[in-house]
Amino acid sequence: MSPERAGEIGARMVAFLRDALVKRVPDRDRPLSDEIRQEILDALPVRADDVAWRAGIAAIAAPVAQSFAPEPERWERVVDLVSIYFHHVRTTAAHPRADAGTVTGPNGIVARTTRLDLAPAILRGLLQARPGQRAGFFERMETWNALRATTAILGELDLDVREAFALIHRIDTFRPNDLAVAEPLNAARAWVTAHPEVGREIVEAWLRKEPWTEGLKVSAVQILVEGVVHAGQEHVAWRNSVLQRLALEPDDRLWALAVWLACFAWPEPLPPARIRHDALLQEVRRLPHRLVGDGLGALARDAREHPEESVATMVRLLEMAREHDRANLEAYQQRAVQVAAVAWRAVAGARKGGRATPDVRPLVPFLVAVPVAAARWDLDQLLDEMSALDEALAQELVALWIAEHVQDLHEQHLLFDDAFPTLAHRLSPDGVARWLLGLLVYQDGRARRAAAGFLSRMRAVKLPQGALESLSANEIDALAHELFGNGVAPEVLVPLLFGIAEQRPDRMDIVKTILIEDVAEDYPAACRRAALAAPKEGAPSPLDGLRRELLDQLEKADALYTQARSTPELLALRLARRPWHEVQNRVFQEAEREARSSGRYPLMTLVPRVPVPRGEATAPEAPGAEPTRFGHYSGTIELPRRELIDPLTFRYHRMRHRSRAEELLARKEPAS
Amino acid sequence: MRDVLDRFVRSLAEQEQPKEAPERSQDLGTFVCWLLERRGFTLLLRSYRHEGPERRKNSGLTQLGVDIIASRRRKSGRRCLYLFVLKQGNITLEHAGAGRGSMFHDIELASRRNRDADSWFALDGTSFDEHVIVPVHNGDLDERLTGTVQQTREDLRRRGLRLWWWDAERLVRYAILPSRDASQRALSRAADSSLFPPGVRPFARAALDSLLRDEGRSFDLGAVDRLLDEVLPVDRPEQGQGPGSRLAAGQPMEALELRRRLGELALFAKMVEVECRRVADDLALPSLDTLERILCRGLEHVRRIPREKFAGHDKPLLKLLRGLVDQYVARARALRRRLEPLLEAPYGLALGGPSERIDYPLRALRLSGYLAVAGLALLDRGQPRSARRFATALDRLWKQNEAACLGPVTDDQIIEISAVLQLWRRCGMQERAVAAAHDLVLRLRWAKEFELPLPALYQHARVPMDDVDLQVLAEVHVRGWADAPPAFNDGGSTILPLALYLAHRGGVAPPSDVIDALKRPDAAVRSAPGGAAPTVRTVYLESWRPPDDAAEEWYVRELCYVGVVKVFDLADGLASMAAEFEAFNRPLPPSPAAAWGLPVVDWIAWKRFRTPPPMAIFCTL
Repeated sequence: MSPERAGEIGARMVAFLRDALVKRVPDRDRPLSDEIRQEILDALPVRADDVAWRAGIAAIAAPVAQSFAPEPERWERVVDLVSIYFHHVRTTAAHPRADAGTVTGPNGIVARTTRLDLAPAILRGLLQARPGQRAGFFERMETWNALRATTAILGELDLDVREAFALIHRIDTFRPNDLAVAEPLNAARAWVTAHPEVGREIVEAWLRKEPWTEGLKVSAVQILVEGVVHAGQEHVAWRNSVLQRLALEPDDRLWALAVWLACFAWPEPLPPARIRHDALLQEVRRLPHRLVGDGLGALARDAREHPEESVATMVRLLEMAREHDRANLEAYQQRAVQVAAVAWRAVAGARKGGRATPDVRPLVPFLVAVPVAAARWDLDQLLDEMSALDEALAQELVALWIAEHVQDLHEQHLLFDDAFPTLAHRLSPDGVARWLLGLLVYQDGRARRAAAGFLSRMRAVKLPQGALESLSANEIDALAHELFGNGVAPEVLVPLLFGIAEQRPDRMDIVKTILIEDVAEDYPAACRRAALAAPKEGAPSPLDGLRRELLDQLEKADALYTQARSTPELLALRLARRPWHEVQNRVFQEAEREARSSGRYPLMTLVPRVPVPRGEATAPEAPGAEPTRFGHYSGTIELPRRELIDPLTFRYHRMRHRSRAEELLARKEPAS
Repeated sequence: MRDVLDRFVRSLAEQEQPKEAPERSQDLGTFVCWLLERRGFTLLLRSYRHEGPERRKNSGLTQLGVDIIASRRRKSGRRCLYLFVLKQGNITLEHAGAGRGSMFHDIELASRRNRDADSWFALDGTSFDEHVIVPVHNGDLDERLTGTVQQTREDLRRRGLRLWWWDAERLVRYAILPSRDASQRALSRAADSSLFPPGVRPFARAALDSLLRDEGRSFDLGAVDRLLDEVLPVDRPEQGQGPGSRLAAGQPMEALELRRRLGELALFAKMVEVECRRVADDLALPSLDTLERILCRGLEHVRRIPREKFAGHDKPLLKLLRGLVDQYVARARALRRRLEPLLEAPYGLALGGPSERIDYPLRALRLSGYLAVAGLALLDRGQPRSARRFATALDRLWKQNEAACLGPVTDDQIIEISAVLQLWRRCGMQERAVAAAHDLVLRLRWAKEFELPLPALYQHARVPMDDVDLQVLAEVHVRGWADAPPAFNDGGSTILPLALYLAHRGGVAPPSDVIDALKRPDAAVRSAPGGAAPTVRTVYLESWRPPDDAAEEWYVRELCYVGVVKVFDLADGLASMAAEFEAFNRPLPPSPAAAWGLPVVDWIAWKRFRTPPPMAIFCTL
């Protein structure tokens, strides 16, 4: 590309940017930037190598940098706009520098993306044109585009102490807890490794508490020290002196820093994990109950690469704080979340790296204590990984965990997919049902109750083929008793009972007894639906007799109920209807207020307490508007009839079924 | 209807003397006027007259023996003038003389009336074609006077006059017929509140008209109470203030007046029944509740009259009261027949509404109460086989609806439970009563175990139920026992000691774990989920003994803050508690209802005013 052409395009860009700096007008800016980008792509050599391509980009960037260099307060905005409007070009042609991925447009045309990387080039030009403004630019940096452009050219920059301080401090505080900052942080660490003397000077000044280092956070110090020590063995002594000085400080945050540094501030290549972990343990021993958490955090970073060592070190760490954790439930739960994080990374790292799977059994007491709100993160990931390696172990862990949290799960009305989304995705709905049915014959009654709750909250469950193969006759009977005894919702319960009778005709008697004596009493509508469901064509089904018997009983009950409804004395004695509805409405209002603040499933929170009125539809919100039909969401709600009219018998019968299941499960019997 | 109307007609005085009559009190004159208007007569002279704004009785020598003059055009087109001569009661040989004031004397006076003067009643001045003298009396004619009447009729015919004779039976027959212009149905088919005096009529009408709403389900018992206060006011001011205050003795009414007023109320009760049949699908509840109220109020007034002041009206009064009880039994029998098909399957009395947790026990026990009281009434009347039918029906009702009958929602439902248990005991179904008591103990114990609400101490199953009580019960049963409002208290039970006592005496003691659980009321400590404070649930075994003179008040109000309460302890075992129960619940003196041979009215009063029956009744038999 000729310098004139580059200057020409640069001038157009400058004009564009000056207009956009005043005000961005999409209708004007988008077509114009498209045009300029196409010009740039046309001007750049199509089959050029990297050097020629970068030279071309630099040539276009030069006039822009030259134009804006005197205005350092606009540098970030310029870089941002360039990143927005000139980041890449989409073309239908197969450009040699295009990314591999394709994008299909609305007209069906397949496009490719070619990145221009003009922003780093312009920023490089700006920083070189006015070196004195670099520190100010770093301090004011606010946008991700400016940070990325800086990261891209960071290795080329020759920063002094103040500039390096400003940049590292800014990167460290840019967006706390945002994983996207990892790349700039790594770049900063690499820059310090290339300039260890600058890093040491900043750290020393910080340790001396010089005023200009005020505000530097320990995480930034960690980057600096790690970066310095990565540079070579000669910095190890300095690191040790830093650790000693940190230990003397009356600030536990600095002791925590020392834990991290003991683990990661080593010359590259890093020594074996065992050595680093020993150093970590030594630092933690200073104040175990405070520093174990940081030790676990450090191990989480190390666990993917060194799974077995990390888990072993974690066990030793947990042992240090055992007494403290035992006395403090909240601390124990926090610890449990960290343990799950380390364990997940270790198992995932082992599986992906083809290493031996670490033994997580010693961690089970902690994993079980992970609170419900945190389970969907690291514990879910861990179970997902474990289910791929050892499904029985994963199922066992799930059983222990749900047994521990049965009350919370019930109160929060969580689905299995809510508690363990990744695991549920791996298992598929059928797999989840199979797991939960397996858990319904688990030894611990609490786990059975929790599994029943999960099953109940699934909208529809069909008994997977072969789900009962591994169960003995006693276990199947216990399963049937548990399904009813734990109050599984009728739309799940009845099809499952029918499924059991179908797959295991030898258990027909127990299923029939439960259906006729209890389920039909409580859930006549669900029973009728199931009994009337069209049987498969062909040979007579073993369920035909059951269906007939069930329908006969329902018909008798219907006839009696019809007669009751036509008896005026009975209808006259419904005295509490109005006050009941008034209280119910108050409960609705309270639930609505609660839902506004705490969130999810406002209707579902009402279900255990209050029947949803059944009817044709709600009133429309405005005249002429479509009403919301109840059928859309109340179809699955059939409250147990006996709970309304005879709560005592309702509960007593459920308790009796659970007791029966307990008895059956206590018997040892070989699997059929 | 015929019997009730007959009793009412026979109770009427010829003319009520009080100043407010006939505004507020019916008498024979006003009744006959009502009847004549209904039969299409044009009244020319009433038994009372207006003098300024005041109504006054029509009497004096100018009356010439005639109390009411009316006219009617006969089917033949002839215009007829009727001269009604009214006398109260029976016309016997002793009253048949020609002495002044006797029926025959007044007939003679009427026959001598100036016909020209009487023709002035026809506004066109023409004379009537026929003149009929109608002696009317609300009693029977002595058979020995048949000849005299025939002779009088012949004498009058010779003088161009005709004679009709209306005795009580004929009055009733005419009254019960539909009105002549068919604007009113027969009294046996539709109520007619115009029969009541003008001052009472609005109250009767309000009650009867309320049956039209909601097919009788919204029957206004408040209107019935207002009618009762109008016709038979209690007039017993409270003596003293605050808890434990008693009522003044109350003035006795004249026996005849009471008889007339009670007859009027009995007529009203019958009208309620008739109207229920007409507009409310023969709903039994309004009649039963009305009868309960009337019986209580009636007995309260009967009780006040000293024996020597009845002046021969005690038997008619007793007959009236028995008639009311009979009507109650008949309605309960109809109710039983209607319920019987529903007693074939479990939960037959349950409906599907969400409020069934409260409604189902209230309904089942209230219906049980009616049936049990009817059974007890039949036992009092010496009809054990009929009573047994009620007992058997209740047996099935309780078996199929155990959840409701053994799961009371208020502690005062001990009244209905006691009535049923007592009926079974008296019908020779002692084992059934014991089994029910045993099951009752178990259910209450399990309800406590499952943290379900127990019977409420401070809410009552009144008829009609108090709105606030229903609100409190709804709060408890919707939100659960743990979130019960402060107004709810189930920390004591009077039902439990009774059930324990009966079970023990019947030789079916509850299991030892139940007794252990009840030994220490505060032993059941549960830790609430979510780290909330543990809840302590106490249930004390209590029994209430009314004061000896309780019967003086229990026909008019609930007994509160009087009598003695005892809390039983099971620490020394069930036998010891049973002995204490017997020692504490000593029998009361016979009540007025028992003295009148109607002890069932006591049960009705306990039911009506939610006064628990004296437990002493279970310590005998």
